[in-house]
Amino acid sequence: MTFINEHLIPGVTGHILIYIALLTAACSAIIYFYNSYREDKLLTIKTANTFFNFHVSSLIGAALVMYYILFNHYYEYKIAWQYTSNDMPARYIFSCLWASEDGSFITWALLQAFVGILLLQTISSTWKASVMGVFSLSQFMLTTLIAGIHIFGFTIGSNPFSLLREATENLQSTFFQNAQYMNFINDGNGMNPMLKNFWMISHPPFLFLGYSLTLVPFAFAVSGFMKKKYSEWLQPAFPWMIAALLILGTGIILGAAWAYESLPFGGFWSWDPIENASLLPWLLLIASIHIFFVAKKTGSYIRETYILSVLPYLLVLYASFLTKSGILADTSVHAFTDNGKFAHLLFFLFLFLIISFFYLFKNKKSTFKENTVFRYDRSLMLLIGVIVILFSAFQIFFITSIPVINKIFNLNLASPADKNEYFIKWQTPFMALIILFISIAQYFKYGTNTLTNILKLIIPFIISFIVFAGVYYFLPQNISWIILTSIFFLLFSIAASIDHYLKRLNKRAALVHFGFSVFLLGIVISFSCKTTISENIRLTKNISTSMDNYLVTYKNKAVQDNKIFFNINFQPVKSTNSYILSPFVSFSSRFGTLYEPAIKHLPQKDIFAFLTYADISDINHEKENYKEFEIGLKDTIIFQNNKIILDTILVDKGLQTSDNSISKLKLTAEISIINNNGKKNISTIDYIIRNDSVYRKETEIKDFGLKLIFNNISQKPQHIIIGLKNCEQDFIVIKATTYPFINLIWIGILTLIVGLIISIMGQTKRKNL
Amino acid sequence: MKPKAILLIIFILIITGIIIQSLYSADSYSNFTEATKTGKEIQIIGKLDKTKPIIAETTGGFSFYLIDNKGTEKKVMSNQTKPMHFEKLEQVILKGKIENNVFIASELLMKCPSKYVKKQFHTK
Repeated sequence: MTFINEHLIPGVTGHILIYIALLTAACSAIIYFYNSYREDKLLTIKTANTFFNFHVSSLIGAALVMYYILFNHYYEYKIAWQYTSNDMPARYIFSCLWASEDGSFITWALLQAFVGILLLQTISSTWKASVMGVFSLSQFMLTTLIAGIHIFGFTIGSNPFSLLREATENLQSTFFQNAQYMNFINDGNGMNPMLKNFWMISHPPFLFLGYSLTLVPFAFAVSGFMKKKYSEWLQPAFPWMIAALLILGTGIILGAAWAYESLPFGGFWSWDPIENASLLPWLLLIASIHIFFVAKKTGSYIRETYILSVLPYLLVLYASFLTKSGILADTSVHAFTDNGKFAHLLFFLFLFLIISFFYLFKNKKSTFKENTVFRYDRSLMLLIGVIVILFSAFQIFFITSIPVINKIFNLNLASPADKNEYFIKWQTPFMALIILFISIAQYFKYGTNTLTNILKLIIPFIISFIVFAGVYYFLPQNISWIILTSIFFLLFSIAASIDHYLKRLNKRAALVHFGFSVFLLGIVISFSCKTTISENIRLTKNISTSMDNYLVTYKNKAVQDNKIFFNINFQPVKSTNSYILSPFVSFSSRFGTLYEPAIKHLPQKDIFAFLTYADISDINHEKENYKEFEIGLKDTIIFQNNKIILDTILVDKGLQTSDNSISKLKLTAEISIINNNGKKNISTIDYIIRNDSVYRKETEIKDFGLKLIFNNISQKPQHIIIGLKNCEQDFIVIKATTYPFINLIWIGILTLIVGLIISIMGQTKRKNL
Repeated sequence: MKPKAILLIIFILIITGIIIQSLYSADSYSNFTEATKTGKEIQIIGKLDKTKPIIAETTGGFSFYLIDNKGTEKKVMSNQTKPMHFEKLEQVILKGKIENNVFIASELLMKCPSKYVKKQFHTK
């Protein structure tokens, strides 16, 4: 059957581009590997470079074709129908690429390819063949995931350009038997409103770029052992480790910030298996960065450094196995269900695991120089820090892997009942110990240390002790000694970092350590000092309720497009400033109702409020007593024994409003209401169109027990549509929490980012000299 | 013995400790009968009864009916906001305990919105 109005050319082009990408990646991998053993006259590294460039170009081409399909809303393609809709702004269409499972592999392959290009430009000829060989192999494996090849009854990867009518769930559908079916698809499914925000546009690309960057230390470590240049690979790999730490960390934080801003639970980390899986490579990167210093200075611990440098990428592959194999479908909130990639992803993971361990065991122990002298020096302190990181990572790894353990041993284990409490109890001291040992290490030299060196620790110790005593006074009573000790360790690390920064010993490290300690301190303090202002408190409209230190009043609700904002006034008892928080409910016919919290960011704390019950009938227009009327100028209608008369309609164009934004159009209707007893009231209702959004507000006429809303403009001239309903006692139920000193987290993150960027710049400068 | 060997042994001991500790803290999925008997907080995987209503409670939160893996059905109360898509879920993971023959859920494990893949096709 030929289908009418389908655009098949872009899909075929895209799929062919993926085939080319697959083929060129395979060619470049083979030629690079061959050249890393023996330089070939015919197929040189230059040939491999060309293949690699072709590979990247075809991936870019495939992504462009995908955007062509998405921007043109070709709903015959599954990805376009499932994630876009006609009214979708361009910025969200961009994020459609990584919203889908197959699209996220394109994103990953593409970003990793960009890292490869950057690597190709900067790498020295010694490493080019072997490092790029490993790189191309990974590119090849990633491309197989989106290949969609049917061979010998197997399907390798899934084609992201697949058609909607070809999807398994639609094969039986009679709708698609119709050759004209495209005439009946006018709009796409659209994106879940929860994903339509800045955080969700930026979080996945940063995460995938971070994942991609961890491949560089992996490739360098394997190359180093392949070429028996055991310590030479360290220096060129190092800036990439810091870059990976920076970008992956940013990606994780963006996801966490999204959870805090848009989920009605308050919190940005829920220790979900998949969240943990993205944290593990990051922790291992910290470990590999610190053991790098030890290995570089002492010349020993080379094999340990090797292991820690390959682990981040292996854990990245493990994370994508967990996310996309379906193994966590029941237990993780972020997991996809199995789409036939279980074995494929497992193969990818094991291939890289075997490669890295093959070269580790191939090189005998005796080839490594080991430092046998045991000294209390900087390397010992750093090693202890690294070991604590490993304990911390192992604990997270183990709990995260419970579903995998269940699968292997056929068990029925669940993660600890109170996951948050469990992890906070263990991970807080782990993190505090890590930063403590790393900070102490700064006071030690490599080699022999004198007592005067170590005694310099006293100053930050005393300072932090005094600060701790002050902080302790303000902390709640029920705080556990583990958390208290951790706070002290963190304060010490902060003091030590400042001390180091002022002494100009190692400013970059001092900045990074300061940032990380402040970040952790922010988390510990804001979450252990959080106060619940209200736990499911019922707020009746305009009646103030005292909660904790606030007088809370539900003022009104405002309708804007398909959202209802509930304006709640928080008046601190001891202050005259009050804050309006407006948690809202948005409504879409496809995705149902969505409750979003409101957060007031103050310098010293955040106030977080969300609705647990709200009357949202305004938007559904389902409530029985709500009625809409089309009313013309000077017309009279009767609503529950009241005469309603539309007196005038005022049209105001280009009005300058109080918040300085220009409203395009403001319609004001003046309405008279006369009841049975001849009592009269004149009210106005507004209908405002500003920046393509419609604003309407209910007007309440208390004496008449009525609510009026200017619902819409009518097709008929001089007619409008008004909504009328009885006044009811309007109430909402909210939960509200304050998070004190949460801005410490942001200060910490910003310092950390600045410190890491300076470190990368410093490293690349050093390489150029 | 070399100091490195001693360190390695300590390292392995601590890792073993972490494994044992984790297994000790690990929970297992239970059912309503168990929860009624013990009265303790449990974790449960169940199916949403779609024939019964999901009600937004005016006291805050919402209630629904869940069938556990043994086929027992109970009313579940949560004091959280009803998550988007809740009515479309097949399987729900809950944590909570039985009070007055009602399961009071202190935590709901919800799918992240990015992972809802709506299979059903609709034209409008």
